[in-house]
Amino acid sequence: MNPKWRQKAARHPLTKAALHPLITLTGLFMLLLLVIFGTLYQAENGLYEAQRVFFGYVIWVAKVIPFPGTATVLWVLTLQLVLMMTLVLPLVWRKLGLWIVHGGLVLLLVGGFITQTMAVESQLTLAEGETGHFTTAYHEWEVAVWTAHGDTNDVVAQIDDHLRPGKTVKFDPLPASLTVKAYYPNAAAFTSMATGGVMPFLNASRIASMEPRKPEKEAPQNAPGLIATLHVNGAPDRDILLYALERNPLAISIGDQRMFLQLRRRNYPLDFAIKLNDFIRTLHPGTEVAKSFESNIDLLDGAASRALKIWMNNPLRYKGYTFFQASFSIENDGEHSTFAVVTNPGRLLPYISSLMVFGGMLLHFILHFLGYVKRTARS
Amino acid sequence: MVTAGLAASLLSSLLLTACNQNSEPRRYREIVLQGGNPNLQRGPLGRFAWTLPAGWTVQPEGDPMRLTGFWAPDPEFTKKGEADPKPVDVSIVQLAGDAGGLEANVTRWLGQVTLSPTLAKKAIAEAKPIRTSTGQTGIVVDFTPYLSDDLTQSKSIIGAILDGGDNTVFVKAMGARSHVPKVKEQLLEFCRNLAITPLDKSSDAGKAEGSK
Repeated sequence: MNPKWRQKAARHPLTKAALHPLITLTGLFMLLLLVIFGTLYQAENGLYEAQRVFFGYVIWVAKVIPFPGTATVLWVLTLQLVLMMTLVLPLVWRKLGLWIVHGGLVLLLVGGFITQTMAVESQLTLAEGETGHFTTAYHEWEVAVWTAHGDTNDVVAQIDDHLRPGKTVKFDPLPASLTVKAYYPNAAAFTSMATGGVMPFLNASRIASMEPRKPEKEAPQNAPGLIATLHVNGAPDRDILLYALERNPLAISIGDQRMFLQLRRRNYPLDFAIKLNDFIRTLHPGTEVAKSFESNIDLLDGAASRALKIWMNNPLRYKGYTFFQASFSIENDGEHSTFAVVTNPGRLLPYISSLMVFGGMLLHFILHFLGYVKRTARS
Repeated sequence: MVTAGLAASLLSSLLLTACNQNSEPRRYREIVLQGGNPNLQRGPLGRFAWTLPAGWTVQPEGDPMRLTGFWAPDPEFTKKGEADPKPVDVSIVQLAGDAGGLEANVTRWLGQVTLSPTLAKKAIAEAKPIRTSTGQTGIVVDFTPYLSDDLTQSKSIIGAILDGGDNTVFVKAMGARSHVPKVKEQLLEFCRNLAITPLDKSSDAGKAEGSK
């Protein structure tokens, strides 16, 4: 029943070492520590920073002592599970429940990995009457360079992870590139009035200087800034300044080509569109406490249009995207509705794995119970 | 032996998750936001000039609804030469005509700080009159006294609504409820010094400028 190669591999000292219970217990204890210290860190530094620090592979305690991050610990535990299934777990019917339980746990960990690496959370804010064709990230930024063609922009964008001093960022096929002089993940900007009218940088908003600021506790509140040398066809041209809070992009002309540059929240184009027709906020009578928020929208996909409603706890799911009613604001030009938009290819895996673990345990119990009944009847 | 196993597991896990640092830029086509309110006043109807109170800084161009915006720090921070972590956001917005009427606009502002719209009439009745250096008159509403004592309403507004003839000018200070009252005197001084020259009297219309 159990092939010889499995038996041999299971007895190998390396396999025994890799599957030692001490590693499992250490891993679980590390996860406990990571949860406790991650929660404490989150209270002081905010959710996104805590995720960045604790969900990675290595945490540098006091900047010098390495400690395994959540990703490392989970990979070790996943490998142990896979090794256990491949080499050790007996290939017999009465162990089918255990096989399903182990499979469910592996699936849960794989689901976590998919969510961490592939899930995208973004938002879409629309004023009544507006139609949105893309969503924007909460805290990821990009330098976007584009040429405009009526209502359509052809965009080349580089995310801010690559904006390190001295690095040159190309925007092929456009003839512009940028050599980064300074990039501040959070900055304050000052207009020319604050520097006596001196304008050392090319900028769309009369910003003359910028200072780095300590990152905000909540990452979406950061306003990054970039100072870079613009290169045209490879030759250095002018120093430019891009700041996250600028509404208008920087327009430049190279030959006959007119281009726009902007440091903005990362955009995620949709292959359909959402039009906000009406946002309705209902309050409990005589109070300012919200009873319900709802958005009446048109879902536009090609020539098709469907009138739909998104309201609290009733999201719209379409083409892998989930649109939740997240918030609203009242601006000078009327009511705005904000949708939290999530795409996660691993969305269903935790549900499936939970069912597998439950089903596997139930099956294991039933098989053992039947065996017990059989043995009792025999004796 | 356990150490060897742990090292093997760690190495494998790191290999499995090899660097995902793709430095290639993304290329995509986007359709710009469409629609919205076509009746918005996008540019100034005249020339604005102001004197900035001590410590105020001009915000970079942002919201296209605004003619301009300022950060107004707590004067105590300014005196000490320190940066206020929660400066008050002061904006100037100019809209054509009566912009929907006084009560409608006060109601809108009340909504922005989660106060009941039923307070609009009271806020207008208790508003103080104000006059700019170029003769525009208006009122100043202060919502701070209407905020609940339990601190669930975290923001406040003090704002001037000025009659610009064929337009309405809104000067609004909005921020933390503890900070907004501290800049009230500076805001009133700013409004009194504000000079708004109507379009037909201005040779350089359509520009906003400031001086210190």
